[in-house]
Amino acid sequence: MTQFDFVKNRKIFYIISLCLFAVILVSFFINGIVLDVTFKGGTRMLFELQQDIDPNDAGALVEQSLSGKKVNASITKTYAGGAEQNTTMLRLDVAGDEPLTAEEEQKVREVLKANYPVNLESKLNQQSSINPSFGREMLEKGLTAVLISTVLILFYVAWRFSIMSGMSAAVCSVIALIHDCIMMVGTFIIFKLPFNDIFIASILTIIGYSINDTIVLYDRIRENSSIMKKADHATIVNVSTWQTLSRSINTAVTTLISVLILYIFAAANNIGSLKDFGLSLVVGVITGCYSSVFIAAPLWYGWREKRLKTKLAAKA
Amino acid sequence: MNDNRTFKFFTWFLIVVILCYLAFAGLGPVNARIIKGANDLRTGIDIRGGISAVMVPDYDKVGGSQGRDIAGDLATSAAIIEDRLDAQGIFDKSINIDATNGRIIIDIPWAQNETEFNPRKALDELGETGRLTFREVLPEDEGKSNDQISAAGKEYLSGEDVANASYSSAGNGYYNVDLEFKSSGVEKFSNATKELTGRYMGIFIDDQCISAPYVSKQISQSKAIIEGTFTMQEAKSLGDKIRFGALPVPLKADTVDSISAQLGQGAAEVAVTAGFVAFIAVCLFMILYYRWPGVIATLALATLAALTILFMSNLGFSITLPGIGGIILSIGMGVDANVIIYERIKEELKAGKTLRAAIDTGFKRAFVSIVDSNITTLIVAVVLTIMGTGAVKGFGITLGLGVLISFFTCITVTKSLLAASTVFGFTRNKWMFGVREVKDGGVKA
Repeated sequence: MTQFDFVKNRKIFYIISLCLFAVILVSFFINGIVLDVTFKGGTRMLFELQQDIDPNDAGALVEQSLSGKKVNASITKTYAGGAEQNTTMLRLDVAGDEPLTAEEEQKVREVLKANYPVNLESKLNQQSSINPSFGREMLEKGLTAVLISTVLILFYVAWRFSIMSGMSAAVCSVIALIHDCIMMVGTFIIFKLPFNDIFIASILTIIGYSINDTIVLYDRIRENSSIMKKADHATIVNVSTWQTLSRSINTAVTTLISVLILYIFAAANNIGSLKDFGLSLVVGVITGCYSSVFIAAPLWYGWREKRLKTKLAAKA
Repeated sequence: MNDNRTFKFFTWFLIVVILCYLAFAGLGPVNARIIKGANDLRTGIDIRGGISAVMVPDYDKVGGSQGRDIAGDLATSAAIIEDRLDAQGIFDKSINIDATNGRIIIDIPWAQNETEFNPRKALDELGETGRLTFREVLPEDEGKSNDQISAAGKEYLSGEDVANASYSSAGNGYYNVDLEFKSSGVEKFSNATKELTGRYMGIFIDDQCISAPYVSKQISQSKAIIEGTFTMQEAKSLGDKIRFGALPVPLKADTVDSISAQLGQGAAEVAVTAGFVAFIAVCLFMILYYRWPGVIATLALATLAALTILFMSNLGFSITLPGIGGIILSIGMGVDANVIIYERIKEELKAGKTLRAAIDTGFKRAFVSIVDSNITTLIVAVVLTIMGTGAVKGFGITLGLGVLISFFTCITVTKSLLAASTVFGFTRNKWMFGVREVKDGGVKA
């Protein structure tokens, strides 16, 4: 069997990734970023209900009427004076920098009135503006945490993979990591998923997955580097990639099975948030595996070769 | 054969079965669990809903709202409540500042085992997030227990003067609480300790005395120590209360409502069913592809899942969406570790090694790569746990726990069971390891 040459064909995959980045960039200009109330804050409205309804459906309907503004809906039960006489309220959080206009408010009321047993005149109804719960400070803290862990990973990989001239391996693994993060952000932009808690969960999961996947392949390159002393970098990368390929595929397949099942179940039961989560993880697992095999390892090869050439040039 | 592989195999098998049973059913009566199982798991507000409380600042207790920066007070309070809830292991919450009406709306999950709506309990769980003061203990209250000491004494310092509170070992088996004051507090504390030398100073949260140390001498530095017969837990808890209880203004719960799951109705059931089906599918894949080692992998994954459930349940962490992400990732890594090992064993078998030698070398070779990949993931988990807040912290904890458990099950369950199982005749059939046997004794892929 002629084996596929990962090193020789590496540019094809660089181009594929760059094309995808371009698609993401274009979608960003077309779709923009949909920030959810978690990050943006917005308007919170409470309406009294005569009976229980499905908040997901109500939220989706209101969202349609507000053309594009993200809406989160939930049901709250107020226990006024003892658990017996409870009031059911529909809580709508509409994301937005500006408070809702009178016109928009009217639309919300009309949609609710037409579809649900709401009491629009109830004294319990309320409206207020709320600040983002995942505010600036939390975002900054989270980003700092991710940055610091990236730097620590750089050092750890540089130290453990010193036989692969550490720093180049470290930087390439981090590039693969950033590649996957961009793809994850892109998934949210292209599919117009709202940036909220689900995005945080997805991107954190993929950071862990991506780095794990790359390290195992690097481990093989490291091992082969010390065994195959006479072989050139290209052979080492190709052999190592082939040796770990069934592992790379099997791990990706098993993880993919899990997240696909999550996606299918969520889709079948119409649970939008879990569906988004499943979808983003499906993409993340694929890019995580792809970036290790087609980006991280060939990139390391490219780096080493370049250094080798400059060294030779310096000698000559 | 005179080795004890059969015994080892069945011992490990028994351990796996017991762990799975414990995780499934728990131990002890429902109300007083000795070991909490899957049913006692706390599900997050995003999955199962919880309590929504509207907290309003009670400015009457601090002499009116005149001249106060209300927006600033709300932001500070929200941050402190966030830390306080994090310290309780509640990472899934949403704390919204309602700037229009000057209130804070806190959504927190149901307490463990809570089925009936009980607002009182929910508020208790919010903790003593009241206003911290250092006061004189009136002479008639000296020697009384903390909850009988009245807050009528002169006020010297408030929570805003405290920079930090931590705990340290006193060296005699007990622990101290270390206080650090802001520059605004140093002089006040010096004055307080001067006036109260030889008497007691009460530390109050709202009207509740939480500690009443004896003042031995005047302290004019920025640091002070509360000595006592504290256990580590007590010292930590008191330090936490002083640190997190330092709200600029007391908050009172205006309304306490129940709230539906943020992810939508039925999210919990769907997540559980999907998890179950996914687990079975992954195990089937492993068994079909790797055969006998796949069976071992199933046992290892069951142990991984069981231990994760046991840890989450008994430490009281809630299962949330980011948590599920962390669990999926750690189970994925558990599968990965098994895959790496079996692929290596296959390679060794193909190279013509005997089964026991192949398992041995396969493990050794795979081990390095598993250690490196787990440590890098652990680095991420630890940093997110230490530096993150809320959802990010929750993710870090589940991931870190998951990676440790996955590593543990891999080197114990997978290794011991697989190595011990070589005692059985059928494992000598290379087919059981997914490698084709050739007649002349060698093996071929």
